[in-house]
Amino acid sequence: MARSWETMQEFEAFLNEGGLVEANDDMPDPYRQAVFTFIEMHANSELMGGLTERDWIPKTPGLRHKMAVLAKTQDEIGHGHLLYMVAADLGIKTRTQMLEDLFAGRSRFHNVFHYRAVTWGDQVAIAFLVDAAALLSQQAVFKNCSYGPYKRILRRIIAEEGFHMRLGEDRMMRIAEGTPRQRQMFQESLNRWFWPALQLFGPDSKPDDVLLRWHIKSERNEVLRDRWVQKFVPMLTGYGFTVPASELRWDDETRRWDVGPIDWAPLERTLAQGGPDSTRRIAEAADNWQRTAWVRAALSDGSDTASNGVDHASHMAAAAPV
Amino acid sequence: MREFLLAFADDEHLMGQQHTEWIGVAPFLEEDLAFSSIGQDELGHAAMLYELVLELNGLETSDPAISDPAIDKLAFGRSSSDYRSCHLVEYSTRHWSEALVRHWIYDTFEELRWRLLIDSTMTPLASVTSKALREEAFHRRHANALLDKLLEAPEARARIAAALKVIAPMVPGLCEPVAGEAEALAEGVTTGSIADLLEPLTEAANRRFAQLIDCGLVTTGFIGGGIIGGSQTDANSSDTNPQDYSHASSGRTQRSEFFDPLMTRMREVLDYDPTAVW
Amino acid sequence: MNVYEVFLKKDGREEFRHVGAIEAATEDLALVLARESYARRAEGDLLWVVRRNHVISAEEDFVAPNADKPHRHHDGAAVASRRKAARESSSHKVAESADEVTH
Repeated sequence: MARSWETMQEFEAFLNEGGLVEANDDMPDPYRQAVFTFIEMHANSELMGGLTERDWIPKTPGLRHKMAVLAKTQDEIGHGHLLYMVAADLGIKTRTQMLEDLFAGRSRFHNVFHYRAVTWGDQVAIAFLVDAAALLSQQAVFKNCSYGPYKRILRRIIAEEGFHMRLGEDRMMRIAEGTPRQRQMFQESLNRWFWPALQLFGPDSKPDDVLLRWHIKSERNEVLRDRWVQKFVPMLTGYGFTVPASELRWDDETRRWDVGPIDWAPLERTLAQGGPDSTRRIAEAADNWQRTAWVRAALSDGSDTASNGVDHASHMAAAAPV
Repeated sequence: MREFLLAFADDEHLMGQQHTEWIGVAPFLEEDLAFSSIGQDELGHAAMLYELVLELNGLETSDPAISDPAIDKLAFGRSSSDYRSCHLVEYSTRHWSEALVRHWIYDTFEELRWRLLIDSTMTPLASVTSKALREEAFHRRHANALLDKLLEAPEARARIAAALKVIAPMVPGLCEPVAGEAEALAEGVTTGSIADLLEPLTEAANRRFAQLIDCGLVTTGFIGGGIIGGSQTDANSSDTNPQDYSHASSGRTQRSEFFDPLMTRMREVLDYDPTAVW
Repeated sequence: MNVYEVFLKKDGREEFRHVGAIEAATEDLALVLARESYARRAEGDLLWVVRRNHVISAEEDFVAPNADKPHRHHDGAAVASRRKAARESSSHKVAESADEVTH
């Protein structure tokens, strides 16, 4: 039925020629696991991003403004949904298992969503800086992604992230043109979020990164990070904000911004200890999950969806033009 | 006329707000998306209705830079006693079952309420109405599709019955008109009183929740007097009995205990810098 | 819960396209939930949902042999080269006949 490869070499040759793997292909287990782990982490991050934003939604200043912010957070939850569906079709965990692992603190998500949005300015900084960082990484994955179902769903996610970045930029500009109190609020948000957003790209890629080798990612972390720096440093300074990097300098020779050495210690602490605010958010989500279990039980008539014809998944997905 | 429109706008505003409180924490992801959309629709209706109030005052609303701040002043900037929302939409739910029951009741009522305005002599109101009615069909279908399935399951039935016990007493308040409705009726802005909607709404509820009546979990009169049969333990567990909202609130001029904390929360950023544009 | 595959069509412009999947308990819930999962911005105006296990799929190499049927692909290259040759060898005749037509 599905395609299979005799050896890893043969499989890698297929990938190097730009081959797209589909859900029901007999892919090598390490590849299946690597793709799954990557998509699961992406899904968790989208959902955690939505939960970070949710705290501030009721306080959004303005009725139509609130509608726009809701639509954005709804998209983030929607991205989580799309990605969990795609991840589940890999047959490693069901959607329920993935969510329950997240709520039990057993699975990972991007470091940036461990922090708390302390003010409204943080909400705007997230929409602007973090969404832009996420968008850059996703574009790089989309460009050359060897896993077909993920690539197709990324096209939609990227289109929606574009709306979010423009919304964030629009709101940032209003603040930049606004009152001293507004500007001060946003400067403080920048001080909190600039480095976590930059660290979303992760440390420099290792030379033997299998994600690059198997064309799940197409660009090295440091390349993407630098692209973000070159775009956002001039933008922020252009609007009169201070980039919170003490060693920030413009290199006249390379004609590039240099933010100086990156302190990874806070990120490592966050990953080790679970983050300053994620425990609370996860506990709240886990509590709601448990309190609404009766709904899922009533809707599922006691049966899980785990074996619901997964074999058909890639055929369907393969029918969609990329 | 201002008061008549504000009553509807305030209901839509607070209902939209309450629905969207479930974003990120609905029972499953697809439902999260659907319920958030419905909340957004209600907020959109509120914005259009507030805009009509502004037009009554002669404000030109075609430029969002002018109309949006004015809408926000109406939505967030009035004193509590000037709001005309009903207690049903001010209530903060503690359980998703309550949110679902309120969603079904509110949207069933809302559709009837819009129908009174489709032939309004206020032309812009009639056009807002036709847009809203298109959206309402989906809201009702969503609530019904969930209830169709959930009411088949014994545990879900018990929880929905417990939620009805909390929500139903607030329904007469939902159908209570403001003093300004008489003027709207006289001028043909509306073609009927929302007080007359209590009866069809009650009938629809008796049909919708017939399985609960058949099981003895509620009686047919559950909306009118808040009389619920089967007084056994509350399926939503440790709840203490909520405040009784069955009394009329005298033309929607009284706010419930939930209103002020909600409004304070919604105003937090606006109050941070009243001169700011966000 | 069942998995449903979701399809959208922009009326009059394209064929139905597969856009993704959802989980739903009933057919009506599947439609309701698919709308807000995949068409929040009216990405399509017609919507289908199909139970995943109702899809009948052919095996991977079922169609493959048909990829090698050049006789079904008259792409016009042969015709074009013959036309070109004909034009070059008797251009005056073609021009005359064209004149006759315009007269």
